[in-house]
Amino acid sequence: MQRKILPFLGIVLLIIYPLWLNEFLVSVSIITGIYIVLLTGLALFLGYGGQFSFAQAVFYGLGAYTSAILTTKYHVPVIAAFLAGGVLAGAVGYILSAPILRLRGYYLAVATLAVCQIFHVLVVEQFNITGGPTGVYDIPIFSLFGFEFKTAISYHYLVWVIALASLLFAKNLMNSRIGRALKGIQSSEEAAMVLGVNAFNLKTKVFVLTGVTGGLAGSLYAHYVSYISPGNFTLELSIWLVVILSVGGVRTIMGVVLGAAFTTVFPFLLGKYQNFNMLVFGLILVLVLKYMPNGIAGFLEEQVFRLVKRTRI
Amino acid sequence: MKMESNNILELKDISKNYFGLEALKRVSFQVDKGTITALIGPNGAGKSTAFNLISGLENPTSGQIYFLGKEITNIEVHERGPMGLGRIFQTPKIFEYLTVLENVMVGIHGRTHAGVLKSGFRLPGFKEEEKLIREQAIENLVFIGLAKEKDRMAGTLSFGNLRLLEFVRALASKPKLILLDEPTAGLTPVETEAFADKLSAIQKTGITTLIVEHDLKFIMSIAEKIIVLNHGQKIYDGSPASIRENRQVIEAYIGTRKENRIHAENT
Amino acid sequence: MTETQLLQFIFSGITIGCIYALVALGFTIIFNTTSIVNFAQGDFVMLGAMFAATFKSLFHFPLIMAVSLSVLSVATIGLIMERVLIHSLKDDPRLFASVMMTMGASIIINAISILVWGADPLSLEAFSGETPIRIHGATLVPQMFWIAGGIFLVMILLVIFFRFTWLGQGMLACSMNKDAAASMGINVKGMIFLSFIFSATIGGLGGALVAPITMATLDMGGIMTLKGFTAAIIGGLGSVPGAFLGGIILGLIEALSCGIISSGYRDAIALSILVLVLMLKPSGIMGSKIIRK
Repeated sequence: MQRKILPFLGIVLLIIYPLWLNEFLVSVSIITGIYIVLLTGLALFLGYGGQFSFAQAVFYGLGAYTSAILTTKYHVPVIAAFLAGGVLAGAVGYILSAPILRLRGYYLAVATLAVCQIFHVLVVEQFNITGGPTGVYDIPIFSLFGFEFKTAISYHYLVWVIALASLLFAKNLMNSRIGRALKGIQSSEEAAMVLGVNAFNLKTKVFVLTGVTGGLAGSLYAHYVSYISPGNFTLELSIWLVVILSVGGVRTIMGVVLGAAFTTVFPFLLGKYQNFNMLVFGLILVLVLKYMPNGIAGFLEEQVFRLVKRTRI
Repeated sequence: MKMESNNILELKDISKNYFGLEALKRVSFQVDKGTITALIGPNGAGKSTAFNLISGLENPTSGQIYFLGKEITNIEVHERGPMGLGRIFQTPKIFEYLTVLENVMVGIHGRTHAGVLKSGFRLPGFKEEEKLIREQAIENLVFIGLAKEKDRMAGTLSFGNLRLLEFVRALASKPKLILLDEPTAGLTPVETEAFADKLSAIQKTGITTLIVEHDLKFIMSIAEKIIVLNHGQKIYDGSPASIRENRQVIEAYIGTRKENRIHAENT
Repeated sequence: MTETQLLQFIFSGITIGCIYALVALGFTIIFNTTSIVNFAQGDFVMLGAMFAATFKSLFHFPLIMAVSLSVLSVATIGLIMERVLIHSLKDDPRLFASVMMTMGASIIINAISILVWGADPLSLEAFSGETPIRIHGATLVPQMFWIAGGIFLVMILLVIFFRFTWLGQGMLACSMNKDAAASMGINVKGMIFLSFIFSATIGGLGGALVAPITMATLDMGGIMTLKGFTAAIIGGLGSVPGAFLGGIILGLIEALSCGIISSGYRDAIALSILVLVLMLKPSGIMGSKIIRK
């Protein structure tokens, strides 16, 4: 009886804590949740597909712009636009996968990098559709069957429900036939294929997943900030996402959460000494790479594992 | 075209060229159902190439391959496994980031169906399939004697156990024909004998084995038919008994008497 | 487009292409020895430009001294980077970690640079004046010859180095098979060390050469890394002539598409061509190495 109360209380606390936070922290929490959705798909591709992708900002942007344009210009209900954003991003992922996923390693990385830049240019130049450098503004508030998520708190719950659902989906996937096959492909694609694993097909599916989650995250972002522009979806972002996952840990749920949290908290890390932000980050990155090959999350897990082994909980 | 009913694998006029290098020249042979057949030959004879063609990792330049009476020459790699074709590699290709048990579970991948959506959303049917996969995998591990190591990271196994793991992983896919590429290379004599026992055991369950080997003693003790390749061509196809008298085979392995004399004179 | 305009675009395309080629060469040297792609390569160019501009325009050193000191400084930074970051990686690190390490180096270099130099660009005067030379109506600036000369000199030296010197052959051996090279007595760690110094030197030189034309700015680093990497991939990672070809081709495509289509699409075109090349010949125009990961 006692053993069940503690985690139950913990969960209740986790659910109601935002009610006590001030506005600023709630917004931090919301952005973190959005980043979790954005990073989950990418983590699957990086950690389980075993390949670089610098195209995540593309999916983020596709979701954001689709949702923004559908709701502002064509007055489509937000929930439909939200889903459309995810679907469109996933579809683009599917189209791209055919030519790109046959490439490996650096070549794949460069191809995704190129796609990211091309997307950015298209968004800036096609101002009839996207509003060009000025972007899209007055993006409506998220509403679901009539209920409007006007307050930050309500949006917080919306975002986190989706974020936790993404994490759960990813975790389920990792612990399944598909997850095992993906890990196998990383070691030996040939051995996996001989056992019946359709490697190319699987990699495509993971890439599409990356697209869908990226697109959904983009839509959530657009309806939160109500104004988006090409500057939000740059190659720098794509690179940052890959780097932050390396720091957080690319094979675990905690790594994604850490990566998302770090991204939101980072700009405020050093307060007065913000100029040293990037320097500190660079040092952190280098240290993590050297001493924690599985990222911070992996490192923490190993420590906890050692602790548990010793105290036998 | 009528296929004999006990013919499980047939290569017909198979040739493979690599930019002018002829790895296989119009090779034809059959493997009979339920047998242990050996494919031998000196290095460079084309044995691994033949295996790559049979399992689909490469495509022949010309010729056809038939499996269970059906032509598989152009069927994709990942479709041949579920048809009943299993294979292990010359250097064990283990999934080192998975546990021993998980490795075997991947072996069952070809016969299961839960896809991305079903797995991610844990739709009905998922749990049952996972349970079956796990149970069968454990059974397989018990058969091969690795059940104790089931939760160990595959990358940490000893070499002998790596070979066994790759073998049982292939068995998990319930193949009708299994291709073994130098399975005893690197094994101690004790391990080799244990392996031979396992081969006899699976033969009793009806599985056909095609094995590439350099250990001639091992081959002689278990193979019912031997096919010899040299320089990409088949030079012998028959029983182990008469192979000792076959001049071509002896020359392929040891060199002609003339070559040996010249070699001796120059050293 | 008139003939004059076409010629003008070709000239500027080749000029910037030479710089891309220099960066690509830097990538190639390190890649050939370590299979790592150095994401700080473009930052060497930026540092070369900043140092040269600082020494000449702020400290008023004579030109030769400024350029030499600048190249030396960048080489030193390359040395430090190798010793501190790369060398300390465990003996057979996963490629992912090594590449990320170079990214970390890039972040640190850029962060320190901003703190040292601030955000304003620096200027460097042209090496031999600015008197334009006219060919068919198109303008050539003397600095362009310095740049072209620089790349040719580096290329020739590299070809001689890799083909005819023991050290160069050793580096090539490392790129093909580290363990085999080590077992033959080649000091692999020493080769890696040298490759970073060489790449840094080449990058620094490139920066000093191009600064009179583009000014020394801090965002040069990221752009040069991207463009140089693209050039290396087009030409084929690991190929010295490929790096040169890739750079020139990229420079020409950029310049010409700038003229034919509005400049906004310039980057998109060059990159689309890259994707096309990758789809048709994944190992680049002159590439033949098999990338294992």
